[in-house]
Amino acid sequence: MSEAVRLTALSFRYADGERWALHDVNLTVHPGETLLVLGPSGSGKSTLALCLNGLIPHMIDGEMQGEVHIDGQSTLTLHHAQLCQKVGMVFQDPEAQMVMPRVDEEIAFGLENLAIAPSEMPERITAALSAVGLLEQRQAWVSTLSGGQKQRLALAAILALHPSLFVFDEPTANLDPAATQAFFETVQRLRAGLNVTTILIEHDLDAALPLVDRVAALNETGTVIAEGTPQQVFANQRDELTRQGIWLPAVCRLAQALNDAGQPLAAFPLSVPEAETALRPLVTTVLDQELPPLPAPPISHGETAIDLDEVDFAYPGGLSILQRVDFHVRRGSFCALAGANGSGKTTLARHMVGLLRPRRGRVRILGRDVRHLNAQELARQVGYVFQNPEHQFVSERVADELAYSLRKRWGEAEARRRVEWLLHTFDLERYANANPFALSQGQKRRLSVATMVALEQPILVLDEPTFGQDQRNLSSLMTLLKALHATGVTILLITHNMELIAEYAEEVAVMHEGQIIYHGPTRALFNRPALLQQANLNLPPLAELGQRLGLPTLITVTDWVKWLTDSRKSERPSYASQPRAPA
Amino acid sequence: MSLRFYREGDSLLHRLNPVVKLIAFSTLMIAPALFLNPVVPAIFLVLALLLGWGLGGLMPTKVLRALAPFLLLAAGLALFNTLFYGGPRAHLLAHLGPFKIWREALAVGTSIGLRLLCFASYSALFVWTTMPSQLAASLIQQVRLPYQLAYAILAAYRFLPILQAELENIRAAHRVRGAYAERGLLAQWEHWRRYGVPLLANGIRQAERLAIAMDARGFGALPTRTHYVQSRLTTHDFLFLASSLLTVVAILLTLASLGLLQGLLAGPAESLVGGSP
Amino acid sequence: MSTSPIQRALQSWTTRDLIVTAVIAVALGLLYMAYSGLYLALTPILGQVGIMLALGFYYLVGVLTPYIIRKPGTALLASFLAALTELLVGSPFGIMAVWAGLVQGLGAELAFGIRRWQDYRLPVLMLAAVLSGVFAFIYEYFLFSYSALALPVQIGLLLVRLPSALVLAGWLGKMLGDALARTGALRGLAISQTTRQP
Repeated sequence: MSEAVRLTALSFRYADGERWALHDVNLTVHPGETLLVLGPSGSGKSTLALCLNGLIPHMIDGEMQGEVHIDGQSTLTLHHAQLCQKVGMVFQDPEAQMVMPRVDEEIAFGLENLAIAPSEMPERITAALSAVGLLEQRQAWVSTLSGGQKQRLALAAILALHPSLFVFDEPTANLDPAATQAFFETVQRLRAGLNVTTILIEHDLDAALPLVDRVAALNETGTVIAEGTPQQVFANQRDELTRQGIWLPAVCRLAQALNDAGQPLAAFPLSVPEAETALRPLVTTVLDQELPPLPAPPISHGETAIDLDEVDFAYPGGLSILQRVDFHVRRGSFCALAGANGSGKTTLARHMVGLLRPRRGRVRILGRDVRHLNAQELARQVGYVFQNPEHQFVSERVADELAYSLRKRWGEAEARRRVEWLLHTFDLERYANANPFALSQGQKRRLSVATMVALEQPILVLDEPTFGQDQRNLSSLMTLLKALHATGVTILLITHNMELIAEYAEEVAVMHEGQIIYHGPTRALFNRPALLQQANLNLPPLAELGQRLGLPTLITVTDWVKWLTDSRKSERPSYASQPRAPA
Repeated sequence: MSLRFYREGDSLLHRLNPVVKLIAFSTLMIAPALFLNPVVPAIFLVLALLLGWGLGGLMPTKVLRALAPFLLLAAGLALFNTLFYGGPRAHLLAHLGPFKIWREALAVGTSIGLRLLCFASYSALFVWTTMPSQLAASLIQQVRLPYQLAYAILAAYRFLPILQAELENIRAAHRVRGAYAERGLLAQWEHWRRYGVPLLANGIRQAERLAIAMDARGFGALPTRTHYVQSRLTTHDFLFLASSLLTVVAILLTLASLGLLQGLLAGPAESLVGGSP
Repeated sequence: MSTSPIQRALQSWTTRDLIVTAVIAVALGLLYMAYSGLYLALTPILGQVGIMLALGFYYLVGVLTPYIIRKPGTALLASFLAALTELLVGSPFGIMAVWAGLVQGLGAELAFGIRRWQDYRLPVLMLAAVLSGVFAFIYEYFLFSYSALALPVQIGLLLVRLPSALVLAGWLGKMLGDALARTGALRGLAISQTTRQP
């Protein structure tokens, strides 16, 4: 057979759904190929994954039309057990994929289900664990593994079944950069050894693109709108994709922007090395042009909003999480707090809102010691948006959610007025009467931010606001935050998304193992790749490009375009005098 | 993050079949519950400490420390049963407000309080020495429990730490929003809704994801399944079970011969409080 | 392989039903343990009665879970798992709580069984809560030797838990179930498929 996977006129509607999740999808994947599937939230990507492995229609109710063929056989005729063996799936949530307490038992689970003889199991388990680099953790408890290790374990668990098709449904969505990289490196290694076809659904294209042979894009109605090689899709159909809110790889966006600015590149790059090759000729001709200077370290005058002085913290009976942390955030700044999972970022942030008390040291908000403020007063000074927006919801209607604290402070009439304003600003007007828990991810995030903004605190801390957001929602959220910042609110953004930091944060602090190892301008940070590596963070692609070409201060698309177009005009770039965001 | 409930080890107790342990420990807990003489639970409590130490490698101090939080509850039970005692009485010790404290009542009250400590100690021994997957395996293989139920148990073990962390997060998030723990019974309802709904909604979604992941790996796809973790019954198990039963019988016979053992389910007789432990 | 009644009942269960039951049971077990602290602290004064006041919550799992899942055996499994959670999180009653869970679950299961596991309206939920309480009382009677107590106190221990069960298990079960349904998290579960949902 020449096709590993063939989808023919596939459409599916869930039993309780009103609209079709997938609509007339036709796709072919050849053996050994890796297909990348893109699409905005709600485009049916996960539904597609479930069709590939036969859970649709075997276990999930709904109406399916068309056919799915795996290795030439239809999923309708294949037995469920056969499909589970042939098709191995890794899902997005590392926590909700493991059922057994111990690593080896987890791998055995699939083997047990398929009635593999117990005598064969130890060998298969060893092989699977070696392949993903977890052999040492064979007897470990699954709960002690990091998110990245758990995803690799999920990979091992399906490897043990010897599948011919991998389906990955956003496997790195919940992982930090280092873990994401490790995951894709593992998959690369596996592909080299096995003859396995892969279908990958992913947002983080920069990390995934090296593996990809073909790309298919779905739109929000579940129809295929683009298909072909990465070259074809990203170069030729980028407008279509952008319209759908699908994020292109950073270098593609750069190439597109340059194209729009009248500086087309000779070849359309898909990766940083390709971009380097394409840009080098342009760069060498203007290298004598003055580079924007690296910014000087910030002079910390001006009132501070947040002060942590020699803060030490450990959970009772546990290891020290924060070690003599000194951290000062100036009033009115837009600061990012970056670090890998487990570096202590959230723990640090929780000290700022009085959720945790330091073992030693002092925490001050706007100059006042947190210990001397009661909970109400502190809540008036600092807003905190949790990683999972649902954790903060206290009512059953969006409008009530917004009004929650407003009534007490401002009375009924004023509260109602403010609620209306918030609904409008955060684009939630249509959902005023909806149940907060029933909203989409993007809407929930906006609502959680809105509830904090409602209280007009001078300081706002956001814990991983990018979690679970697709690019369109992310952009609108960041725009809102920028607008808020412009009114003078101090913003502390906790994240490990380096592109976001490059794009929006003028200053950044980096945490590693409970200490702050850097605090300064973002551009200067990206000029220190060794430090980033130490912290298990990565350079965003454009900054990496800049490093390779000797242009370390160009870290966003805007930077690059401006520099290249300005240099063409033989005009000195005005970076030095470019106004920073209002203090 | 370590599993608080299971403690690694390689003692005899760790190696025994979980179902056998369950039966043995249940017997050791039921025995004291049949008698109203405080001597009985006291002896079984000491037995628990010795058992944990000798066969389980668990220091008695550890077990006692684990029991500490329950002392108040045990005392409360003892007090309640003393004050509201309804059996035959003869020796009045004191007055406490409107209540009369009888010696018989105090004995019975103490025995019920000690009983609670027995429950806690044998349960601790069980939880600390039993791996969840071993328990599931022995339920499937020895008791012939349908595997779906055993996996429901494993899922429960799996989700426990996850939901604990979730609950903490929800509590923290509510504090930040200024939704505080109000006192009073009526506020409890609000609480259940406020914490219960996010915890359950989130939990249910995670449960569905796990179910899909399990289905995707063939759970229930075939009518039979094989077992990685083999659960066996060894001679150790039979010996342990037999010894437990014999110990119970031996203790009770000894106590009976010493005349300390009147009071089986019904009210105590006068001679109940004759001997001293 | 002969099909026992348990196995026959299980055939109508999906993996999702199973794991969702486990999660609800664990969540409620945790919530109960978190809040029982308040009541347990009252026991020196109120003793058994203090526990009774909170006990209604304890029967909640055997009402809420069947209300959502609607398959035979839900009450039993959920009560058992909630009790197991308590064992693991350090309930003083330990393993005896697990047996208690089974007994209570049996009581609730009886209520749903009478109506052939088809009726999940409020009166049935209330009945399930009450029967849980009654069965639990019988179990406790032996476990804690209620026979040693004065007769009026024995009767009191039975009666005092009933209003608690009705409100904190029966009524609260329906309220929580409906609130959850409104969040949209229950789509795909049996509760969302009934047309006669109020």
